[in-house]
Amino acid sequence: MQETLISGFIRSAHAHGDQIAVSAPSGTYTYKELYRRASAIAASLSEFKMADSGLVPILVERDLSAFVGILGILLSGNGYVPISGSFPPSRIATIISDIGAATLLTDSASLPLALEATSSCDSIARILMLDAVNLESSADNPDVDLVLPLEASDNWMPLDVSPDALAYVFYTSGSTGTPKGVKITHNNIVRYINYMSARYELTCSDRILQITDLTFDLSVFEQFMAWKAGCRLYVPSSRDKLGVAKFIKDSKITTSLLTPSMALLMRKLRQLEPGAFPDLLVSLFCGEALHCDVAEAWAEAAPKSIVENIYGPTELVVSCMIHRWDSLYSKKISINNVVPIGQPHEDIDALIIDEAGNILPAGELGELLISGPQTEALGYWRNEEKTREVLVEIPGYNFPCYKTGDLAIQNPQDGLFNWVGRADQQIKYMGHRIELGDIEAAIRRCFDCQQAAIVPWPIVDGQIMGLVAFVEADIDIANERFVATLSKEIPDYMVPKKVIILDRFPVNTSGKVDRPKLKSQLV
Amino acid sequence: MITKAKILEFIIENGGSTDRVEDDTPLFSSSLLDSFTMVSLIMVIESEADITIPPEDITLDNLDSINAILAYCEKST
Repeated sequence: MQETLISGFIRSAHAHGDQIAVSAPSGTYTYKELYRRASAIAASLSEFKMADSGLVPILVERDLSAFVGILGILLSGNGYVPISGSFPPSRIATIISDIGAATLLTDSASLPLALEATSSCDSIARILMLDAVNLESSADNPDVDLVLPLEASDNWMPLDVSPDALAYVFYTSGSTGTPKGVKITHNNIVRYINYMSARYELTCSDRILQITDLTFDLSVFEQFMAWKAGCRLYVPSSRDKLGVAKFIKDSKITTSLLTPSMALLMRKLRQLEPGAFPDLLVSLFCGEALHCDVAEAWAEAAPKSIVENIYGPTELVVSCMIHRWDSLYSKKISINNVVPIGQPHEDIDALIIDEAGNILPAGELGELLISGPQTEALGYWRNEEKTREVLVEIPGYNFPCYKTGDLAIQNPQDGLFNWVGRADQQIKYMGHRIELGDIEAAIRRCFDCQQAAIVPWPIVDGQIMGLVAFVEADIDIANERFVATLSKEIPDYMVPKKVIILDRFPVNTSGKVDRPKLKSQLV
Repeated sequence: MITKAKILEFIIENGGSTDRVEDDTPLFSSSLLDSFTMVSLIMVIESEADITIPPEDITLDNLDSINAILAYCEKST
């Protein structure tokens, strides 16, 4: 049988059935229990006529049910599509309709949101509950059946799934205002997990932190690295972001994968004291620029741990470049105090091109392109046009080259790559990947205005701390109404907390909105 | 001295709304305030109440609502 994303979990369930697979806020499951419960979900899903897409959306809190649901979907031979509870109903409806899903998995905490969101989705026929619920709740949406899973049964044997089938689709912010689904095949994610497993040599005695929102692909690393190694996944409460440092220490976490924002927050909360994390052995950072002072503070807080900056957009399957932090050397070769993103994995090529598409030599700044086995299957769900936009064939490379939109430079001395910025309007804010165009489109939908432009502000120590909206309109829009209205359209983390109304936007010589001039109004 | 009015003023300046915030409304665990706004709020509390909040006291129990903040400051001064 072909190896799929779930194969590692099944092997561990047979080898270490009585070991704890996951410790979450509401309790723990052994591998045996988690497999049994996931089997019930897989058996239930197999009873339904699935959508042709082979994809099942799941809207859950980060707790035990979430892992049962994700494993259940994979066991049933389908791919999973995680949806965040922080998304407003309209965005959830857009995603479910885009997939054309007939079944949505949810838990009782997320059910009210699920019912509201699915009320405008024609494709949805039923909601499968991952925990106990009063079945009459569905009265809010009579077009949808609320169903409970079958009784937990014997271990469900996964069907033989093609390695080219989708393991998951993760939706990310889209520049035109519609989220886009990044497709990842079993083949690609299995190759990645195998590569990283060999690198970090985790064993069943390791303790892995699961802190990332399940709609970020870093969570795929956390879950499936842990379960392949037969070790225990530790899940802190998603509400208590103030207590993560204490959780890492108290749970004796040995492996963590964090966004730099989380480490910066701990530092600002004075929780990154030297020696704070004596049990950590592997500390990884991904998702945004890692600043040298944060990496250094972390290395001192976790004296036994390696600290690595890993880089990669969701499209390239979690990550594809690595740099191990060395307090002397990394700092010396950093640019703008940002830790290098290092070198690509061994079967992957990284290259830099200019705007005309010419390959640049080391030492010159340009756009970072990645070519590797994962780019062959790279694409967006039902969006061939977008897929074609981001891929380019370059002679001499066996695989298509993915245009990351990141600006980078290769160090001529050691060949390491440094991330320098973005070539477009995509930002990372609090670990979230956001297209400014996505927010601007939402503003234009909600308000009677000519134009909107988002300026990340303030920026402290190179880190975006907030978003300000400039709106060209003839009417005044009060801050409170602005925030409340936008919160119904886009996730809270994307809503600018301040709006500035202008009669007319400044434009630059090419007639485009002069963003630097807008920003200068904030200084 | 830190007052309820001062905390509310901070919340509104940072995108909150008076309609949504009661004395017991969760500020942080509800995502009303994001992580870094919480850091700023802690600095405001420290400066207004003239206290230093030790790392072990930076918990939801002490800081997640207007009432919790006022009770914590009263206990610490």
